[in-house]
Amino acid sequence: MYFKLALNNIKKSYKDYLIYFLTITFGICLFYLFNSLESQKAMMVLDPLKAVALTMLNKSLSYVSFFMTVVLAFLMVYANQFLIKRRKKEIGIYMTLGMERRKISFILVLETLIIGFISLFAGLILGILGSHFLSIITAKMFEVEMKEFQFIFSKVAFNKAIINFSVIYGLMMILNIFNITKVKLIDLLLASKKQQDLKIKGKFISILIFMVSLITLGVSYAFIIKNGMMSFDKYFKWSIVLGLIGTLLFFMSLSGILMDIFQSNKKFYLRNLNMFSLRQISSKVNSTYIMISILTILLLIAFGTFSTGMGIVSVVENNQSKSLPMAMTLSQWVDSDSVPLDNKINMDEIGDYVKMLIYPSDIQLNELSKHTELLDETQADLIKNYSIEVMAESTYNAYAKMMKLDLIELNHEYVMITNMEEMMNIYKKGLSDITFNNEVLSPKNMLNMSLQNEFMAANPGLIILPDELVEPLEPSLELYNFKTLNHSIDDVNRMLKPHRINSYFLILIKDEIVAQNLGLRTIIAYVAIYIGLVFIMSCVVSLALQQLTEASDNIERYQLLRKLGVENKMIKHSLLVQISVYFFMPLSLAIVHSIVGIKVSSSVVNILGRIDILSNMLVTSLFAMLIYGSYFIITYVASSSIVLKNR
Amino acid sequence: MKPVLKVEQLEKYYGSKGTITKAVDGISFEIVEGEFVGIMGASGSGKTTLLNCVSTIDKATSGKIILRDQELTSIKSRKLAAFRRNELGFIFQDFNLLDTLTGFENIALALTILKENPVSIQEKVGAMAKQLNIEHILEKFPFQMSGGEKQRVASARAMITNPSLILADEPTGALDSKSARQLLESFQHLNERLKATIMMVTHDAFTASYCHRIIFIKDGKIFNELIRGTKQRKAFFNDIMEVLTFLGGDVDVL
Repeated sequence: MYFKLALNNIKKSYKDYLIYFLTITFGICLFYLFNSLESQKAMMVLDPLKAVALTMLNKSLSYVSFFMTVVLAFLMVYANQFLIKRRKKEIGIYMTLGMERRKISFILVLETLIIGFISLFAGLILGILGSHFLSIITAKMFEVEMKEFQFIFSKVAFNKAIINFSVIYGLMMILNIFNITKVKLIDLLLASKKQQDLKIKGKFISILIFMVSLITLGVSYAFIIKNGMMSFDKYFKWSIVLGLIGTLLFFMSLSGILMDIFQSNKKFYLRNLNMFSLRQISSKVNSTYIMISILTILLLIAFGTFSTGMGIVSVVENNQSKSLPMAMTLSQWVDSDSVPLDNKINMDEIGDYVKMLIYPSDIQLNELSKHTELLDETQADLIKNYSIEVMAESTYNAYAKMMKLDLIELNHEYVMITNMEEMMNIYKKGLSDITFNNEVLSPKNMLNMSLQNEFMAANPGLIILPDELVEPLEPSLELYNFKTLNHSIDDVNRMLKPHRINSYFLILIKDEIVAQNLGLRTIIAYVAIYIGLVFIMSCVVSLALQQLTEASDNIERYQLLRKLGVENKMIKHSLLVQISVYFFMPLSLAIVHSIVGIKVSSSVVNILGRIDILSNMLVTSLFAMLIYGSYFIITYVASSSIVLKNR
Repeated sequence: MKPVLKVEQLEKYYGSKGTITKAVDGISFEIVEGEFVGIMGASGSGKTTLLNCVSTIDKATSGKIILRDQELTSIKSRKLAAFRRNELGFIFQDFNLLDTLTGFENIALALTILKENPVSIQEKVGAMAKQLNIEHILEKFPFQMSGGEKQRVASARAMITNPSLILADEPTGALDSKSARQLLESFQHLNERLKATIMMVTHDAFTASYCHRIIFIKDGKIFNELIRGTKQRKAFFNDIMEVLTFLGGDVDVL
């Protein structure tokens, strides 16, 4: 009997349940996606060092997933509270009819169970499909074919989702029972009559607060630009603190300011339902400005992480081909007791290679170029006092011959090689002559290329000198660059392994690095994008729920408007205006915040490589708009159906 | 004089097949321009149903309601909202002011939804406020007003569009006797000076004594009709009381 009652309740108020259902389903879907990533790590090729890093990352991932669960739990409880609030009167009537609190709780528990079961099921199916889809997208993003990145059903994620959400449902049920047993009957029956108090502030005070908020935000922006997001110094801290205060003050004074502006324009204010809509918005903002400020900050974090994630993806993509010209590079630091590697290892057996020796020099970068001030502060600090490395003309030519590049011929000249765009730009502005062993050399040309495999393109400068000038020097580094390998990666690693016992040298195999970069950075990017999405989701869901509660609380106001002869079209328009303002107010300030933030943080990401801020912003906003837009439409449709219910 | 409202053989049934309740059972009457008519009856007599039918909030089962030559039952539901805001003014027992709007805005709302010119809106609201003596509360919010003030604001809202008919549903129901008297005096004022036609539903004899004519309803039918004529209000009040005792008398019949 109770089961039937619960089922009927859900059927009867499916529209109220829709947003709740969607929230939970979407939440479970995201949760599954995130956790299924852990089981996809099997695809990654790992050396011991990376394995440690990955374990650490996994650990932080589990924190994130815990954090996720908490956020989702809050959302679900919020959604649940909304439902209960909407049905207070119904519950009150059950109670006046003499139904025991225990039984009412039981009905609510059953309802939650039914909805929970359906949404869990729907969410998991969506999650499994989604993880397949995401793998394809991720593989596409990195422009790499990855056989291992396939459709995987993650048992871990599946179980985790079921366990976590069962716990949340359990908590929610306890909360509901607690709510029902605690609440007073009179409050349930009179829930809709509650009058909301209005804060009325003086015109002058609200203008003053508004000005202060703008100034505070301006100072906060100035601080973060000065800080450059490079260190957690006092500027950074103050920027965050002032940003928070400014946002809060902004929304605190906004409604007063807007009311003043619109009220003074009588033509606008006294048209249709404009003044009703404005009053609704202003009273809403007045009573929820703290929540709006929090949402703004959440959205800011979401945009920040999301676009940084996108940034990392594109950095990885751009860098890879450039920093990995060889199939394999072996490198060893040379000191007094090191034995050249080709004395121990039969290099010809491994593949087609060139041996290259690199020499140190006393020449500093800022002697070569006067334009280091073009770099931003941090880069300049790192690079200014960098001592340039040196290589012999014949060594380069051997390399060039193997790589089928143009050979060079030096005549009291030198050639500059770098693989960093920003250094190239500086060198293009002009290079100075240098004096080496009393011989004056002039710059011949500059090459933008990598000479060996690196984790990322980070060679600020190396010069090629005539052989006779290099000969007396002691090499500091020996490189063995393999164009091709005769054996599989596993076999090569096996052949090299015994020699690593006595000496330390670096093995940089292109395919391995690609796979590693992919593995780790995919996760970093994925986590960033994921957190971004979840934050945006949480914000939008809270906004939607707020609006829906609002609509159901204000049902009498709208009924009155209809009695007075306001057409449904006009009411819907007023609702649209209210919901739009409420949805896009935090969004717009968050966008302003994040334009500043992303502009600053992109210079940090830029050190890793050039990124296309605009396209990242576009992708970010596209995703945000998609989520935002769909929730906006759902909220609008649901609100108007609540408000225009019965006749 | 020309009738503003004409109700002919109005019937309103509730329920289905076997259990039909005749809330309004063949009522006919007329209200002419500038008349202040009261509808009285015990609860359940059908007076609120009658009001709801006239105000187009509810639909009659059969019969005709003609307001200014317009047959209400033939208006398409799409056009009902427009009809309400153009031809009718409402005053409710519980004021029904929008608590987020000031007094001025509550009154102006009736005009803004008619898409009136903003300049004339301000003038009209000002003039109406003067008539009803509520100029001092125009900038206040409903929660800052007393019950009587709220009801006078609501009356101003109902009057400002110059409607063909003002429908008042127990307007003094939530007021103390002093506020009720003030409000009814305003009604009288509006009725005499501005020629407003008012149809007021009430069960209170004192409130009803301000009317020109009173229609008594019992079990969905017209039971009696009293016309004040040139009588003093006090005499009229006594007449009303007499009918009411008569009305309630049949309880003893059992």
